[in-house]
Amino acid sequence: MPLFKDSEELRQTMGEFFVRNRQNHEVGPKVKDGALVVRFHYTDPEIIITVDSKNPEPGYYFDVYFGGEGPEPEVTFSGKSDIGQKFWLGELNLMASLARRQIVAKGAINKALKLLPALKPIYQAYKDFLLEMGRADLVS
Amino acid sequence: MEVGEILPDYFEFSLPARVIAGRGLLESMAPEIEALGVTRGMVVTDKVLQEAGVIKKVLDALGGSSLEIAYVFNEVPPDSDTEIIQKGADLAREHAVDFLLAIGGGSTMDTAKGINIVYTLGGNILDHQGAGVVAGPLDLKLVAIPTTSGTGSEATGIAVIKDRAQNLKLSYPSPFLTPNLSILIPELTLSMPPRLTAATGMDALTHAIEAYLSTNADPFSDGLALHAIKIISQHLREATRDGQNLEARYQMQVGACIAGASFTYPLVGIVHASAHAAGGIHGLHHGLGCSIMLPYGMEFNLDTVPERYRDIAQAMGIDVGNLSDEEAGWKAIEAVWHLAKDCGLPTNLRDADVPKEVIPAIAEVALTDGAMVTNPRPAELEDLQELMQRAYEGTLDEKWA
Repeated sequence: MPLFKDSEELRQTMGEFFVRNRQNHEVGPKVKDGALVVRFHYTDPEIIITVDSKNPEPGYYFDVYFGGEGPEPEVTFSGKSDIGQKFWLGELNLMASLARRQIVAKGAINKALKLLPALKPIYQAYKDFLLEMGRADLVS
Repeated sequence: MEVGEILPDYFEFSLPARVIAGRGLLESMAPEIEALGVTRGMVVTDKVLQEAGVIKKVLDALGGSSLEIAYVFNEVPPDSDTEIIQKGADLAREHAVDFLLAIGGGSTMDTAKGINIVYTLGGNILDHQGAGVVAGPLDLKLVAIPTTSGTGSEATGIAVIKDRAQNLKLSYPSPFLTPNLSILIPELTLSMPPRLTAATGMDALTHAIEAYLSTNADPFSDGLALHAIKIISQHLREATRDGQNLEARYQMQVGACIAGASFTYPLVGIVHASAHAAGGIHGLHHGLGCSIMLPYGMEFNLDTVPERYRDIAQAMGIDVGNLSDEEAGWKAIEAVWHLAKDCGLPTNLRDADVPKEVIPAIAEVALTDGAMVTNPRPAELEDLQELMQRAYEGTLDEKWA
């Protein structure tokens, strides 16, 4: 059974986390330096999140779009929402998941992979965010 | 030791390429290709090999078989690129072939892999970038005959293709890209000049060492990597010194092929990241870049996985009996440095004519190279800057020259 009951719940948790981190000073500068448009297309339930660090609104490190809106992505990561959740909690071996096709990365993967080290602090931030929301069930 | 340290999340190993090697294979290879069920092929190669008579030798050897070569596509550049792949795919369609025969080095084999992607999936090669995007078998059978001993592309499901418009090298990893048949014919490598022999051989050694040190190494890749290290470190000097030594050439072909198989899943690390960056920014030959950076990359990673260095030292024939892991590791690094030196390669970036002013830019690009993901020790920009500076100045030269 999927961790998230529907797309709306996914939007209010994972989606909201992306929006709230547009001014994350720990991770944001490196994401902005990456100057990349990345799309995460998760299914079961479905959510499409596009992160644009190429041309963000002034004062923000990146913009976040939902539902296929926003600029064309240079790289798209697709997979089940549960796999996406594991990734954002820092509990996924990305290389293994790519090998098993649990995640398909279409596009400029080298550009996206270079952001991986910079994302490390975000995993704990996501856990803290979920706990703050009273969603400890999504952390364990 | 906790269970989690022993049992990995996951690992995978397969070697879908059928690799054949042996005496007189050039004359007896046709039935091996026919066994793939193919009849009409296109050779993918470069002009240098065609002018050197290598392609004629192969085509003559196929005479009398049921195989027809419909076209010889000899336009592969030193770095495979998007335009040449499009042209090759169009030609493959025009000539209605059912197999590709790649004869050449890494660029040629990667071009053939790219042609197969576009031939099968249509569109442009840029449409199919990524991991897991090529998700099923491709339409053309691929036969690879390597004429260098370095890239390992004959045994891998990876193609690296240059997008000249963006000045970027694009990666295409998929097990479906692996050649169906790879034929190792050492006679075809006899004409490689010493410097190219040495540099491509050091590239192969780097594949094996970085695969063994990778965060994604697995028990299968470990075995292959250590054996490749052993073969290459034993035979590269002789293959470089006497290019006509067929046994040394054979050993290097096999070593490079095994090294290629070893890194298909573990991938590589900081040495390749640095060599990619130096190649992109200054045009430094990839094998030479790997050769210069390998001792420095090994020095950088030593404290993180010292026990692995002990194995590498042993594979290189070093007696590590009473040495600590770290001491054995230094012996391995020294042996790698001496191997490059003995093969006549420069051992620092300055002697390779890399200008000092591009060093910071190389460090920046290397930091963001995809190969860093599987390096055992994470690196910050300052680490890369120091690493590149040390490689530029040749700090290890002072120790061992």
